Amino acid sequence: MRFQTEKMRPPRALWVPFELGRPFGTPNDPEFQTKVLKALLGTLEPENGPVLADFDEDAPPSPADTGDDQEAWACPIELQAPPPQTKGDDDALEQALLREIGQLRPWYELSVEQRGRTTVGVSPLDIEGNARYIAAFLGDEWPDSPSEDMSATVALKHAFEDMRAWYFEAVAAQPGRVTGTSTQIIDWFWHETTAGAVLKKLDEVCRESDDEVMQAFGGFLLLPRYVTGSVGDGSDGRRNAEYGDNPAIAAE
Amino acid sequence: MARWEELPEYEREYLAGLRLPEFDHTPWTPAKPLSERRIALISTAGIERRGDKPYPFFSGEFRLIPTDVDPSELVMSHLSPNFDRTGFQQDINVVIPIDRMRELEAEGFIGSVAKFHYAFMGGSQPQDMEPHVPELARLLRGDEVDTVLMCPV
Repeated sequence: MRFQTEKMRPPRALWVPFELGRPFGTPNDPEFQTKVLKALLGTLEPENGPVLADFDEDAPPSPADTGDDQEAWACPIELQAPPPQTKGDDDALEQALLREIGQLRPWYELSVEQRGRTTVGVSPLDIEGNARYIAAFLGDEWPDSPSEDMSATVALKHAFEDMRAWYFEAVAAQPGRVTGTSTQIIDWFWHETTAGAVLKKLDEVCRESDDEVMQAFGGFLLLPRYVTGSVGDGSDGRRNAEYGDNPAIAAE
Repeated sequence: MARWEELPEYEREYLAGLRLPEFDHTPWTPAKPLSERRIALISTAGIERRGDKPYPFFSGEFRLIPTDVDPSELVMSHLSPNFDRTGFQQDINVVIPIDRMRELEAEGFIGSVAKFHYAFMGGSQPQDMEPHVPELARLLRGDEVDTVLMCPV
């Protein structure tokens, strides 16, 4: 944010207008990325500072988003509606999640083939293992961490990271379709998939938990503000907790 | 969309409520030609090589990103669910422009690219990163880096 940079006064800075998470503008657009990078390097030239320059040009659409059928973005498979979320249906929810993963798997594999890479792999578990591990937190007995290197809660966070990355990559892969904007993918993931339903339920479990770390996890590390539409009232630590103010999870 | 006027109200409320570190003065080094600079990138996107120890919650540790890293090795474990991941999933250069830097080196626009770039998990507090900074500075000096580009997400 420009006002934050004005307040902190770093020696040389470039303000850019792009979506948060894309500081160099547009994926797979080397020309535009180079333009941003050269503007950033340009802030090194003045003899006096602080320097705060503006890059006042919006990012062009991603090459993947400019196909003829741009309007046709849609989920590549017809997913079954998430099952009802009543107490006692945790096993059914886990089975539905595993079925959904099975349906999406060909698209995930196609994505890896097309992109030549995947960003899945933070968690030591595979996608089915992550699904089972996350679903187990909906039951009465929470599972142990799958790794000696991390607590059960950190492992839960990484399982969530991997599941989200796996779904995002899978849905972006349908041939003849466009990648979709990030908000389309977020809407799809959180509102139309069983994975989204499971994670929303996990959010509730976390909030109702006596465990401070789990409360914090549910409070602000699972659902994006784009989905909750709120920063909360601040009393749950949400306002600044993402930035390490919550002593419970700072210790994890 | 980092244009303030285009952000939803809840996002503006959140960002306006963040506490920012305050500095008494702005450090300054004299300008020198780009063609003589050796440059490293420092990302706060919480990226790491697959198999590296993932960042503990709110850790101030940093991770090494070799300049010749295979993009398929990089994963992201930032805590915040509130910024776009799909760009990084398509192309690491939209977060950390490693390939663009190599191209600028090849055409002589900059002097050289450092042997290593670095990444922090940007949701951590600056005071938790601070204990790791002397080690980072030592590594940068060892690599004869004279310029770093901070690349926040």
